[in-house]
Amino acid sequence: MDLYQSMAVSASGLKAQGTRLKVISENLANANTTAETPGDLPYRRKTVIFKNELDRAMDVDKVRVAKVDVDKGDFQRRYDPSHPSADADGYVLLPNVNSVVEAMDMREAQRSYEANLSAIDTARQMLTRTIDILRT
Amino acid sequence: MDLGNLGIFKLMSRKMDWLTQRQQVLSQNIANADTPEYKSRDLKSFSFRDALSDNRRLTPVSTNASHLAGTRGPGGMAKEEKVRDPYETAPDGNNVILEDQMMRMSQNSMDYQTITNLYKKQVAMIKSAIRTGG
Repeated sequence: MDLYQSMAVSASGLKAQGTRLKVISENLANANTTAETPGDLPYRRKTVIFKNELDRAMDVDKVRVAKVDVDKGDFQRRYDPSHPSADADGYVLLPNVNSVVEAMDMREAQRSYEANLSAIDTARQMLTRTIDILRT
Repeated sequence: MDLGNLGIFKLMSRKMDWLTQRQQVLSQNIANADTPEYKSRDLKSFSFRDALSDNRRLTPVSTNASHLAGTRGPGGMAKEEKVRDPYETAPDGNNVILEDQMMRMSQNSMDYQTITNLYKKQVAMIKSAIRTGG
């Protein structure tokens, strides 16, 4: 039945957006993680890459997370000579996580998640209406 | 009696089939709303002329055991097409606009409701025609 296929596609969308949200929360949680020793590097921001994929069994274009990559951008630096991982000049390296960017990304993930949910809802309604024909 | 042989029922079930397929294509667009390079798609619009002339379409017959059977029968998938003139394309090449897709989807769902109601009405009419015979 085609409507079950549409639900499966939307479910794959939910899963992908869920993974994205997980990565965003990882980034936010580690926004202040510094290295333990002066030579080490702090946490690097992670990014999610989506990919659409043909499900041959069902003949539909699903979506999946292709890979979770790291953002190779520059780290932030803060002057804090008393910090254990401060370098010779007194600077501490901080993760390249920008909480504003993360918050926006999170918002977008939430919107996409909601859209997928309502697509499932629509498919379900259509299915219910089909079954309702039996009740005449 | 097979209701599927009556013209109107046949037409309605074809339209329902089309609407179901469209729902699937729209779900795909929404699921891929954040996939780079994904282009939104839609079905070629349903035309009653095509649906009515469907009986005249020829289907190949396999005369040899090694012939491959077609995967799509006479009433197979409707034609898919890329959406021309998208409203906007994101820098990553994706042109799915959620608002647009939601609108299409709700329209699709309403059309589906119309058809199923029509179907019910038609059955009710046949029923009342039968009852007057007594």
